[in-house]
Parts: sequence; C-alpha cells; structure tokens
Amino acid sequence: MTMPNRNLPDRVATHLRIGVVRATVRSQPRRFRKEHAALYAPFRVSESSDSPITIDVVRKRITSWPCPRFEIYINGRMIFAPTRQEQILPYVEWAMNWEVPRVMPEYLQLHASSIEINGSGVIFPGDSGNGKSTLALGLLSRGSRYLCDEFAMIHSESLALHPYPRAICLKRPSFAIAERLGIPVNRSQSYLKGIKGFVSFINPLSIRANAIGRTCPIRHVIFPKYTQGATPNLMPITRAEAAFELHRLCFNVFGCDKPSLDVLTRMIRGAQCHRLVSGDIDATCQLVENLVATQPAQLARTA
Amino acid sequence: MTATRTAIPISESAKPLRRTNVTVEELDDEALIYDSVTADTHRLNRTAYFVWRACDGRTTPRQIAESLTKSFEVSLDEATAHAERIVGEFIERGLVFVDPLSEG
Repeated sequence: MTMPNRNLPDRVATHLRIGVVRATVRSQPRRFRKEHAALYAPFRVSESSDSPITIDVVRKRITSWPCPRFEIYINGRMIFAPTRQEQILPYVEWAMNWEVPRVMPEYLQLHASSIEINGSGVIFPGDSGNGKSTLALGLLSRGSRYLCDEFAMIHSESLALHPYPRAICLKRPSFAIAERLGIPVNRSQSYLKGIKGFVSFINPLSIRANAIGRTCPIRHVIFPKYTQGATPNLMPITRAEAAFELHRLCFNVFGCDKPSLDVLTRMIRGAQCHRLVSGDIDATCQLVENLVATQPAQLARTA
Repeated sequence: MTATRTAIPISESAKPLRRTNVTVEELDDEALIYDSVTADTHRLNRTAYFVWRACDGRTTPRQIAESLTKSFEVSLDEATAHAERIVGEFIERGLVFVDPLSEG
C-alpha cells in the first residue's frame, strides 16, 4: 500500500545522520516525536536532500474504531499499522532495520553487534537471544566505543567497519544487568516488540559523551552464546567456520554491491575468530578486553 | 563438511569431477563453496578441501586416498573410507559429478 497523497499539516520532519545511515522521519503523533527525539536528537542534521530512507508516521482516524490508528510508511510503502501510540517507536526502529540493507548496497550488513576497542573493530554476530546487545552495552560501560547493537556495517571495498549507532534495544531480562552497570533504564517506557517481548531503548550518548566509535578495521569476530551461570570462555575457531556462519547471518547476501562471500573472506583474513560462552557480564567483558589487548602483532600492523 | 553424514556410495573406478561453476574461497587450509544455482554455501574442512581439489575427473577415490596418506597421518584404509564418504557427500550435494562411462 502506498502513502495517501493528502495534506498532513502537523507532520514534523526530522533529518538524521546516524553514523553512516541517513534518514528522514516525518511524524504526526506528538508522543512518538518526543520519545524519538530523546533517542536521536544528537543525530539531527539540517540537510535532507540525499536521505535514502524516509519514514512517515501517520495518524489515521477510523470512524468505526474507537482509538486512533497509525500507519508507518517507509519510502512510501506502508509496512506497519500499529493500533497504539506506544507501539510506534519499536515499529519505526524495525522499519529502519528492514530498509537499511535495501538502500545501502555499498555495505555488507551482518546481524551482529559491533564495537571499537582502541581502534580495533570487534563484531559479535548471532541470532536474537545470544546476548549481542547486552555484551555491547557491558563493553560500552567499561570504556569501549559503540558502533551498533544489531548491524555490522562492512564497507564492501575498504572492508572497514562503520558506525550505525542506533539506540540500543535491550530486552527486559537485561534491564537489571544494565542497571547494575550504572546505565539507567526507563522501565516505565518499555515497548512490546514482537518476539523479543518487552524492550527498552537506550541512547548510547546518554552513557557518556564519547560513546560512539570510529570507522575501524575488523580484528575480532566473536560469536557469543549467553548461558546463565556459565563461566565465560573463549574458544578459537577457523576463519572458514566463522565465514560460513557469517554468510548465514548476512542481511543482504544478494543486495550487496559485491559478492558477499568475497567480501566476507577478504574481511576475515584480517581477523581472529572465536566462540564465546558468556555468563557474568563483568567477567565476560574482561575476557573480551584481554583478548583484544593481546591481539597478534601481524593483525595490529595491518591496521 | 566433515564427512559424518550418510553419503551416496560410489564405485571404485569412478573418477569424480568437481563443478567449475561454483565460487570457491580458500581460507587458510579450508574453503567455502558457494553454489549460485542452489544458493547454498558449503564449508570444507582441510580433508574435504584436499579431496575437492583432487576431484579432477582423472582420479579415483582410491588414488585420492593414497594422496591423503602422504599429507595426513592416516592409514590407507582410513583414507579410503574418508575419501569415499566425502566424494559421496559431494555428489549428494551436487558439487561433483561422476561420468557414468568412467564407472566400470
């Protein structure tokens, strides 16, 4: 369904540059605008002409329906129709996740959280529920820099890892861990997000001013698997094993402007690959930091 | 690919030939193969990649096994069983062909 061509006088446009991702969000509902601004105000920019992503949030009144209903359009196509205001923000985030792989073919995009530690890129690939976001948050709270909690954005030519510092999406079971790390979670403002259950969003810049990482080479590929009560442990795996799994976790296998397997194998030749059993967040972060600190000289030289 | 699955049995005189219209990316001593026809990706460990390279349409599994014994510390019997299983799995996955005329 395409967007209706009608006058929407109270729709406010916000232009954003979130790392390498540019987007324009045009919205009517005031509550959504306020919530979205709390997360993305630092990423606002004035220019808009070259945004590849435009999201429209439209309020729609249906006479036979007692509540306002909303429609979310992305680049003119309606993809979600939430019934309540509090559902809009998670759906807009979701809409972004759908569109970014489609409109940014110059990046190979993996389902992974990504951070920068002293100029080295570290990615934590995995399906939902493996603790990617919580691990990124833990490392961020200890001084690492945040790149993204859901995407590893790898430039297909340079192979560099780029930031897309979207709001960190934290599931309810991780709220207490974040609070223990000293990161405030607004529990009263949590959202129901599909199979993830209740989530809360955290602006990485609310943790500290220099929280966002820079573009960097990928030096470590670490597949996390959270196991409650487990002793954290890192196990080396071959690059072929890692690349094979990364190929499965690629959002744009056919949408990248270069063959995805070629990009992956070129990237992974400069990285060490491990599986991580993660447990206690502090001990797990310490283990990862020690690994990055002791990276082989030949990897550091090619940085 | 670790040769643990049940694979298609092949005759001793078969000379398997690997497909050339797949993308092969070597990583250390292992490899990834991307088959654009099926959109499947296959991971080959050291042994499987060794066997893959030996599938040139002129070599029997027994001869591949003899080569394996020179590169890996395995007996000829073990190597033969490995080579036959791996070639059988390659055939099952459509990665190598066996010319019916090459089979005795």
